[in-house]
Amino acid sequence: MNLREKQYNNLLKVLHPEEKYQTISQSNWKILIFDKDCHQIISSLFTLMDLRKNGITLHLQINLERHLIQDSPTIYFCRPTKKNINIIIGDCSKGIYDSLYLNFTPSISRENLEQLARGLLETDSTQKINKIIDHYLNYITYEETFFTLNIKNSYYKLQVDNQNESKITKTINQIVEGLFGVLVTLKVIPIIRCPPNGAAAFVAKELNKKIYEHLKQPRNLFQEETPLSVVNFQRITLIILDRDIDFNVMLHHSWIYHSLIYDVLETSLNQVTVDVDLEAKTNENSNENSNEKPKENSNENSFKKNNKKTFYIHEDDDFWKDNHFKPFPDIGDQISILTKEFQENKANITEPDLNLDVMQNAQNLSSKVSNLPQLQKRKKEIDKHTSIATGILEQIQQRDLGTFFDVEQAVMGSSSTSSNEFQDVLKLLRNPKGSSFDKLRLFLIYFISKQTIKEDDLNVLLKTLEEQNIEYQSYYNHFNELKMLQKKQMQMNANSRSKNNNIFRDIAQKFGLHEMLPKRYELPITRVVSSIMNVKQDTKSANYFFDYLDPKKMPKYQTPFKSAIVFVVGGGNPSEFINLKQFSDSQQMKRNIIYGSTEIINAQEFLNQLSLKIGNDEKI
Amino acid sequence: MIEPASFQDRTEEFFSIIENLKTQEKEIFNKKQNNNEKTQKQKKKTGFMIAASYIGKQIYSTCLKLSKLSKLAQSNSLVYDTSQEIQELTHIIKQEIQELNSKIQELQTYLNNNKPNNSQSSNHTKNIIDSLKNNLKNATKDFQNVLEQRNENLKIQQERKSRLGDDSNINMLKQQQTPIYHRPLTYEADPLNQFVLNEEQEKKSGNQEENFFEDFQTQKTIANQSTRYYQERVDAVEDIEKTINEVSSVFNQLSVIINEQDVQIDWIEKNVEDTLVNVEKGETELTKYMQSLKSNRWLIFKIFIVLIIFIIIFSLIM
Repeated sequence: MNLREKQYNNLLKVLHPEEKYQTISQSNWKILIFDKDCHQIISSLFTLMDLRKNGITLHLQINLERHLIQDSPTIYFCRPTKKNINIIIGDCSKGIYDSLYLNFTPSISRENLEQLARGLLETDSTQKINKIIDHYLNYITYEETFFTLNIKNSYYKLQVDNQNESKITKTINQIVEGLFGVLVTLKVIPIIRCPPNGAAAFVAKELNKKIYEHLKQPRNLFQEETPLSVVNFQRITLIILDRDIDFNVMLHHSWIYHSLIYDVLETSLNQVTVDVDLEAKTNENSNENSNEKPKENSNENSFKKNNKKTFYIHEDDDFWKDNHFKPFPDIGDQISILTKEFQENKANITEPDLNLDVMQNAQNLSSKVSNLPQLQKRKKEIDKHTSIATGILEQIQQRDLGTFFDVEQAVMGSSSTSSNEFQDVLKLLRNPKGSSFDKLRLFLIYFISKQTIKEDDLNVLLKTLEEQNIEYQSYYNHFNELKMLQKKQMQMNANSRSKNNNIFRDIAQKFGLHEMLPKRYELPITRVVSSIMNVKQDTKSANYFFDYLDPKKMPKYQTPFKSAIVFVVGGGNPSEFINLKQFSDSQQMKRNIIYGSTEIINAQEFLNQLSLKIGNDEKI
Repeated sequence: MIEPASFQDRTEEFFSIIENLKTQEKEIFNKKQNNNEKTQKQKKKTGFMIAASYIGKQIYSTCLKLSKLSKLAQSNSLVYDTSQEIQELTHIIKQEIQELNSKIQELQTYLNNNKPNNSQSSNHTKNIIDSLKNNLKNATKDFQNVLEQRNENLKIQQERKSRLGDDSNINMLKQQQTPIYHRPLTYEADPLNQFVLNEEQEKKSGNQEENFFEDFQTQKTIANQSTRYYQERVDAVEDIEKTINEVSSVFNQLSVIINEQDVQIDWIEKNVEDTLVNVEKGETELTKYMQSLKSNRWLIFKIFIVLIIFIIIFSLIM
């Protein structure tokens, strides 16, 4: 299950609407026109160089002014909105392109298609249309098994209490479309599991309905080339969860390289921006080999501006692939090991072996030269990650993130309070180094994780926050409300279903890890997934009380799942992705888990969404 | 590659809608239908595109020849038979590459003289030329590699033979050893892997020849023939080196241009977005300025009114 690769192949179809994919004959030059969403889909998978190789000479935004270009087929790749359709009709009537291929994602509705037909008839340009193709690609893949629907402020948008219903329905539809696209790309009809209520349940029901309706059609998109393969008997599960399952993971300071990048550096999709000035200062001495190949820097796939560099992190980068899930200290070690290795290799190449004669040396040289491109790639990777790691290190030192990480880890480890822990938290809140956001995060984690906090202690903490001029009140109120709600629910459950009130323990555990920290740290999401994939039967498990929806309407599937798609409604982050990946790798029978969310955000963005929500509450 | 079928072709549906609409509202669209045919007749390819796609096809056919050549160069167990063919093919390819190079340059000058009327269009044509150049550059590079392989093969063969034969050839060989390694540093993995493989094959076939040549030596009467053979070989090597030099000049010409382009090749994202942001910024600035202008105008107006009133009052008092 490699979602990234499958999406890539599907995008090739967009770029080669007529021909089968071929690389050699490139005399078909095409123009690509995309809207903002589709632009992001493409740019997370294709470099400009890749586009060139696929015969795209020009790529333009649909909403910007475009001029006459003769003789070249034009590929449109956009969402089937009324606005885009009007632009296409406008382009045709102006006659700026001769032949058009329209690619929509997700599928264009009958109504919009009729609008398009009418518009083109009126402007008399129907003969310009060559093909209209529906795609189901409206999601963005970061890694092979890591995707986002890129719906901004999704947590905020799904809060029932301050949104009107139509807005929520719109967001839910967007999520359903995106998930449907992922499933179509993977060609799987999953068994959907979701908690009994909340936004996730909504999404699950809608998605179930959509797939069920779709399967009624004579030709459906899930048909495989080999319909009677063994794989078909193996079902896959789609677990849809609400963000409420675990707030800590969104707030805590992670020590994992991947998470740290998203936490402390400027990122957008899979691009990281690092201040290079900083790196230059610290790396002046170690960069002596940069004089060797001055050309290299100019070719690097990075973008230099105001002393800032943008890097792209993805799985084509071997270093990233091997190390992104490791704790940060290991990254430094890894970089120095690789740098050493690289130096050795370089020395190997530059110094001729004196024992051999000229002819043999020359031959050796040619074989060494063949290693050069690999070596060059390696060096680029090392340089890139050195820059990124330096940027992170600077932040860690400035903000004393190591201490935050340690204390938070301990706080999340148990639900009961201890005075030592309290002192640690208090000390850290008074630490001049951390930013006010760091402190707010620590406080919220402490507040969420502990079932009961002594009133005196709480007051001391709140007072400290006040002293530090940290705006906490609204966030505190938000989580306080949620906490009260949880308690009430628990009590209600205890009253009504006193026999097995433990069923809802998992829901009650939304707020923190109530068990002792195991050696391999498992996040709540991982425990839910593990329970469902292993089809745990005991009444405490998520498998027991999660809803079971099967679009195929087949008898209940009881065997453990080999593959799962885990989707969090309301925002996710790399920590969860990595935790799930570690879980799937650690199992005896190797599992495939794809992780996705409505958006991938860091703590700051998440808190911003909360403040949006809170701001709205206050207005009302 | 397996064609992914996770998309739906809606073209038929679209055209059936159009047919429906046409029958529904016949009168409106009938008139336009006539115009439609006219416009279709007018549709013609421009000279530039014809030339460009012609060159593209030519490059492709040259590439095909090139792959044939590299196969020939690899399978030279029957040395005498293929060397003739290789030489001919080398010659043809060399000419074609030079021709294509000059054609692309012609196209470039044509474009410089007839500039398209907008920047996007000129970008488009520029990129077409760049892609042509890039393809030709790759072809040239491959060609160069094949030639160098061939050159090396010949030398290895010759060295082996000279060990058996007279010493005079060794001196000649040593003189020629130096100019082999003037390759550019950017290498793709594939041709070089081939190269390594090729060398191994070469060793095997070389061994066969040694045996072959031992037989030769026993029959000393054919010694004259063998010296002629050497002479031919030396000529061939010289010829190939000459070709390499010529081709490498084409290559260098092209690679300079391509290098310039390489710098620009970055990920798509930023450029477009930046312009968008800038345009928006400009717009807001302009509206701000407009508003400030408006308010200024009003201010002047008001001051004037006040002044006039004062003057009137003064004149009345006076």
